[in-house]
This record gives sequence, C-alpha cells and structure tokens, in this order.
Amino acid sequence: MPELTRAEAEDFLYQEARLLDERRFDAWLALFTADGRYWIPSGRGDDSGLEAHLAYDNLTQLKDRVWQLQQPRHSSQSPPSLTTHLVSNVQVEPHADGRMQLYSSFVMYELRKAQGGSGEPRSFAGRFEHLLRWEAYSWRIECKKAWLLNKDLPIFNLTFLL
Amino acid sequence: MTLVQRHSDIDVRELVREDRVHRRLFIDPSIFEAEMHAIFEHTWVFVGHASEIPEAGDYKTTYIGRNPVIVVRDRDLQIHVLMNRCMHRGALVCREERGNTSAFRCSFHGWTYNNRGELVVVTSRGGYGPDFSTAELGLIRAPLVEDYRGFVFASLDPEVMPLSDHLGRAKHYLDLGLDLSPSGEIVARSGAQRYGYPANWKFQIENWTDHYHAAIVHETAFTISGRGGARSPRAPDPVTGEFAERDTGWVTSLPHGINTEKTRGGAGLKTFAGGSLPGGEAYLEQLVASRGPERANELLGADIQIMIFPNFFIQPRRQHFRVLRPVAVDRTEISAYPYTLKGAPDAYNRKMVEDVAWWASAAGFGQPDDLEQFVRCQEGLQVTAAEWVLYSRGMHLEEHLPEGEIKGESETTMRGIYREWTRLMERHVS
Repeated sequence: MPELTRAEAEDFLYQEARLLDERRFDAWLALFTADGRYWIPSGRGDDSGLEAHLAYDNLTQLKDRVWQLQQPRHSSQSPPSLTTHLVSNVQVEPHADGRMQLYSSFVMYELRKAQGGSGEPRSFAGRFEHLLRWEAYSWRIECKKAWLLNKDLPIFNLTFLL
Repeated sequence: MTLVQRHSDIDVRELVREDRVHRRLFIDPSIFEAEMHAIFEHTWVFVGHASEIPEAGDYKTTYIGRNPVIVVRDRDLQIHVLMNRCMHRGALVCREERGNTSAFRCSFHGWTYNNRGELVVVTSRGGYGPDFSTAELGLIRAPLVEDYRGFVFASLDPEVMPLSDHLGRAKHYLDLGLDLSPSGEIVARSGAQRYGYPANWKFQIENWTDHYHAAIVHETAFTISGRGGARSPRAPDPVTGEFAERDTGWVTSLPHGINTEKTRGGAGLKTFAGGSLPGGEAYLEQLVASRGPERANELLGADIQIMIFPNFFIQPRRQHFRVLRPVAVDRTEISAYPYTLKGAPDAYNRKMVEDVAWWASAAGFGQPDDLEQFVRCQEGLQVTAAEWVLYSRGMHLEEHLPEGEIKGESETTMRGIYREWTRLMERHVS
C-alpha cells in the first residue's frame, strides 16, 4: 500500500477541484469509495448524529445530490452555480489501516448568472479534511469533510458542491 | 415609556383585501418598520424550548422582532426573557449564542446584572451621587413569559391574552406532534441549522402550510425521496404534470394567524416507514406501550406541520422546529432546531436528526428551492404595473369548524395570516 506525498496529495485535491469547477460530476463521484461520505458539519462536527449537519451524504445521497443539481426544475440551481475552488495549505498524515488524512484550506467563489442577481460572486472559505483509502489501484475518498467558516451562521443556498 | 412610531402613510385597509394583498407588504421598508412594532411587539413570540436551557444559569440569546433578548434560567429554575441592552449606555450585555452564567457583565463600563436581570454591580460607584439608585436599572424583562409543553413564548405587550387561550386549537395539533415522544418530552439540544435569504419574512410563514407549491417546487426532492418505493403522491404525474392536491391533505387556519397542514398518507401503525429505521421497532413498541395502539396509530398517521404566527414552525415527523428572525424588509434568517424524543432509542433519534439536514439545511434537498421562490418574488414584486399578490385559491371550498378553525385548501392559511396581520397592524400602527 503506497504512501502519499504532499505533492501527490496536492495533485489529488487540485484534480478534484477541477472536476467540480468543470462540472464533471460523474468523474467526481467516481473518486468516492462505495461507503464514501460527503459531510458539511455544523456545530462541533460531531458524528454521534445527535447534532445538526448541513449535509451528511452517503454515496447514494451524494449521487442524488449530483442528479438534483443538474435538473432544470431544481430551481435553486437554475441557472446553475458557477464555481472556482482554490485549495492550499495542504498537509498529509498517515491514518489507521493505511489510509491517508489530508488537511487543506479552501476559498471558493460562486456565481449564478440570473436576472436580479447582483453579479457579484459570493465567497466561501474553510478547511477540507479528506480521508483517502487505496482501493482498486488508486486513492479514493472515504470521507470529505468541509468545515465552512460560517457553518453556524445563516447561509443562503448551499446547493452547489464544496 | 415606548417610543410611538408614526406610520401615517400606511392605510392597512387599502393594502389588504380578503383575497389579495398589496405588493408593498413585501418590499416597502416603512411597512417592515411598522410590522416590527405592531406585530412582533404586540403578540406572543417564540423565544426557545425549555430543554435548551435545562440548568440554573443556562441561557440562550435570540430576538423578539429586532429586539435582542436573553432567555435565561435563574437559580430557582424560573425562565426570564431579558432585553439584551445595558441600562447604562445601551451595549449588548451578552454576545454569546448560549452558555451558563450567574451574571452578565457589560464589557463597556462593567455594570453587572444577575441572571434575574437585577443590577448588582456598578463599577466605581462613587462617581455617581448619593441619590443614584440601581433598583430601577435592572435589565428590562419581557412582561409575559409562558410556555406550552416546554415551548416558551414571550410578549412585550402585557395586554395579550394568556398563551393557552392564544394557542387555542393549536394545542391539539401540537399534542399530535409532541405525543410522538414516548415520554411526552422532547430535547432540543442537537444544535441548529441556520439559513438566510434575501427576501421578506412573510414568504416563509406563508410557505409553511402552502399545500399548492410542494408538488411543483419540490418535484426533484420528491422524485429522489420516492426512489426505492412508490412515486410520492405529491409528485406531479410525469406525463400530465397534474398532481392530486386534494388527495394529499388539507390545511387549516386558526385564530391569531396560526396555521396547520395535514398531509394525507401519513402512515398508521402498520405502515409506518420509521419502523424499519435503526431503533424503529423498539421505538414503536415504546410508543404503543405509552400511548396505547389507538392513539399511536392516530399520532403516526397525523403528518402535520404547524406555523405559529409570527415566528415559529414545527414539523414533528421531521423532528425539528424552526424560528424566524426578520432582519430587514428583504432579509430573513431562520434557525432550524432538530430535536430528539426523550426516551426513544438513540439510533432512532440519530437517524431522525440526520434527516433534518437532508431536507431543511442550506445544503438540503428541499428547503433551498423554497427560498429560491421567495427571492424570485422579492425581485418580481418590483414590477409596478401589477399591484396585487393573489390568495384566492380554495375560497369556495372552506369549511368552518369549532374554535374558529377554517379547514380548506392552499391559500386558506394565507388568508388567515393576513387577517391577523390586519388586526395587529390596525390596532398598533399609529
């Protein structure tokens, strides 16, 4: 089982961000393991489940999310969010069972081109924690946790992918 | 002494008709100003659930309209609602969202109040003359604080009727939701999900019981939730686009702008889908043991949601309640509080709390599509050539029940909201 260098971790995160920003969602979904989790916590980010989350998707729910955000009748994504992710401050730590834990910081800009829209991109910032597992000869995401700075403040329309 | 607000350009009767309201209600800042006074300071406003502050000294901060307040338990476990404003120069005395304290110390000049609101420390008191008295300088208390089954409401107007009378028939509906807890108690200590939207607060209170929008706005969410089972009865027919509004439930309008929505097809005891959730079987056993099979069947079949005007919403089958904060004429914030059923299996509660995020969070599958409509309305109502917003649907189908309850469809509940809006605005806008 290989180790992951920081350069390789950066490549992985940059590629993931590119897939999202280019709306190549099927390729993005393929990065996840079958038991993968997409998690946007609020509060402590406790997974006892007795605390509110912003999103806590298993792979089925994540596929549903990706399906929904491409539907013209999902009006909060019609017109869709255009996004640009910037990922930085990458650190890599070995995790139990040969898995790798990636820590990074992100800034992203989001914009919907709509009549009535301000024309100003919105910005979101926070930290990513990616837990990666070596599976079928590549690194896959067992859990992507996105800690938003404003996770406990009122947020409007977070129906795009972080 | 209250500052009398003058809103002489607002003629309430000109703005509201039985079947329509004027677009100014949603876009005019002067109407928003008047509402904050005439509505939020003259009726019962929800401030929190008792389980959020169970111990002596526990507190949370929230708002009554635009008034920042502290909801706090004193050492005798009595709950007070204190204006979060130092009586010296006006600073907030508490910045925290929640916590536990015996005293609130103003960070500006150090005046300190105990958790009953009494002023107990004035720093360098010698700087004041011998006649200076602290007795009248405690934090201002909301004159009325009452609760129903732990849901705490406050009124800044001491003349309102007791909460129990104000809620009236709504207590029956609240019981239908809260009796789903085998112990009869809920615990709202699972944090909050907050969302905001750049549009008027009344869109959200209308939306809570808008039976007409769901099949259209939530088509994609219903398609997803229907996967692995039958198509949701609320999803439009994929070919004709028609949907069976009448077959899927009804709404009722109660006095004081309170509304309920009942979704038909809420399962009974035998078909309750939650029985297959983790801990679901044990939960059902508890429910039947505590309520008896007949009541359990009724509770599980009662898929209701309730809106208590002007700022409280509860959806018992999705185990959460929400609280609205009006910020500006085009700015609203909502906090959604998932809750657990005291005594129910942890695994069951866990799954129910997770599911709140699925629908209701800013990243949820359902709620954001509602907000998109609110924002589109806020923009669309800028059109000056069309003055009115229509609420005439179902007027010919209404059924008058005891205790002032009107059973109907769709916009029956919105007509109820604007009757109460008119009552309060007429009485208190001067």
